[in-house]
Amino acid sequence: MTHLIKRSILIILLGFILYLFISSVGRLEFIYNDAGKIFFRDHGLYDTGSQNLVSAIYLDYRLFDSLFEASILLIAVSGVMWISQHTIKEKNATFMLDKQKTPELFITFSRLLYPVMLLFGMYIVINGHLSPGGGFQGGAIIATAILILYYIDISKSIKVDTILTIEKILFILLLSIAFLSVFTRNEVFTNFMPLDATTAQKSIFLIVLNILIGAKVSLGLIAIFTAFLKEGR
Amino acid sequence: MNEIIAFVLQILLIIIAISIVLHKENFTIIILIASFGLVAATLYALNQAPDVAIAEVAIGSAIIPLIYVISISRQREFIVLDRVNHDNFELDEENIQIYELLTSFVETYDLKLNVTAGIEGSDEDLTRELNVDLIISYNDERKRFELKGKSSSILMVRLKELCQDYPFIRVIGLKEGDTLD
Amino acid sequence: MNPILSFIVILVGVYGLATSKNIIKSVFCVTIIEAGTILLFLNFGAFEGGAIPILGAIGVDIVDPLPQALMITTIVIGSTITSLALMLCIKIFHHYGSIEWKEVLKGGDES
Repeated sequence: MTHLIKRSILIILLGFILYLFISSVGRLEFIYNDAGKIFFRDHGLYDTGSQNLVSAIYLDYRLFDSLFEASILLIAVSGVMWISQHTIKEKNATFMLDKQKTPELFITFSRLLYPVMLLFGMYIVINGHLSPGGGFQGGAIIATAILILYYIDISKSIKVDTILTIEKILFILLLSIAFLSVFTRNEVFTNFMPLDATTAQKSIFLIVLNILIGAKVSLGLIAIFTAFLKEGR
Repeated sequence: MNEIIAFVLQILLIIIAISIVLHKENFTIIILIASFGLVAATLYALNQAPDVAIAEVAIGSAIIPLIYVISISRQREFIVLDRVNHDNFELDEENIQIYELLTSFVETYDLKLNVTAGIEGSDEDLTRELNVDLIISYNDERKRFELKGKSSSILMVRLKELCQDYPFIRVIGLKEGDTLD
Repeated sequence: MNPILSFIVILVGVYGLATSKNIIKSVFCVTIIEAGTILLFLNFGAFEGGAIPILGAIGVDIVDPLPQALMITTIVIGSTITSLALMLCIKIFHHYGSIEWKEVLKGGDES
């Protein structure tokens, strides 16, 4: 009986919070102003060199947030690697494999689909400043494409130590390229081209950063997958 | 027209969320998880945010359900390692009784039994590293079967209560020390 | 109407987190709360007939691009937190043998 009473008290509390939210959402037009949107629309292309304004925000105006997000990815991958047991020898663990074989249709279809997905992921990474896309999205698509390799041949596994070393080197490279703007513009963590270069020259910085972030995200997700697959055996 | 589609999709999102909260089986929640991610991505695209929609589709429909499947599928098996010397025919009847007991035991928990043999290694290493749930061996001096498993596992506690009536079975729990290397 | 429906998704997630018996279901309720929050933030900037925030798109005026940039970060971080939590959940299963909250909190027989 106390079980039902606790649940009903919980529902009443949540209903009260909903009533508070409804009574305050009508005043939203008085709080919200357009000054930020007008600034981004007028000065975005000239300052950063990208037509995609969302990429301009997280790659130039607020590069600091993206650097910390890259470091959160690094910490999470290290945590997953430390907890899991991906170093056991394979010959002792053969009795834990699944007893069914993957059907032939999956293997053939994966062989057709793998190069197309890889190409599509690279297109989204490189065209991040001209159309919707960017480093994070393309990195997730490339990681999914490499996951299809496990369908094709389940006994081949990727060496994780090389991947982790490359990922750490990419992170240091990312930090150093973001830091280069101290010498040319006297400001940290922004574009390293000077302010009077053309738009095409300023977008070189965005392409380099997109490629680095895409590679880092995809390698991190592949490492997490491999740890899960070996743990799940 | 866009408004009506957005309204219907939001109500659908609430219905999927409520059905995830109230469902009881783990294995069918995964399909609801994938559909939740897809409906949410459509709503992001209808709110004029294509970058966020691409990110949600790539992560919430391919990577997240796969991780859930791997972490759930390990929980449907009960791994038993058999080390009894089967050349001795006197023990067969008691051996069959043990297997009947184990089969009825795992059926109450909806698990599958996975019996194997022939793995080398000490008992403690096997339960710690390869996560074998139970090791059956026969002790010649005391003439009884010994079932070994982890002492902190809840299934071993229930098995111990179940085997108290049988005099030829003894259940031993192995303690786990500090195992992080 | 739109912000209220997104807030109801958040409240459903909070209810699920408070009353779930599985560890895996409570990990997914955190994802439900996150999806609701992202919808709420995107609703604050969008309006009807607005154009996507890319120069050269057709529409009356562009939508605010700042909440969208913050929400991309949120999605990626949410997925990494989920993977870390599920790895811990697998380890709990190997040690205790079950994934219900009450049994794990009571502990196994230590004798």
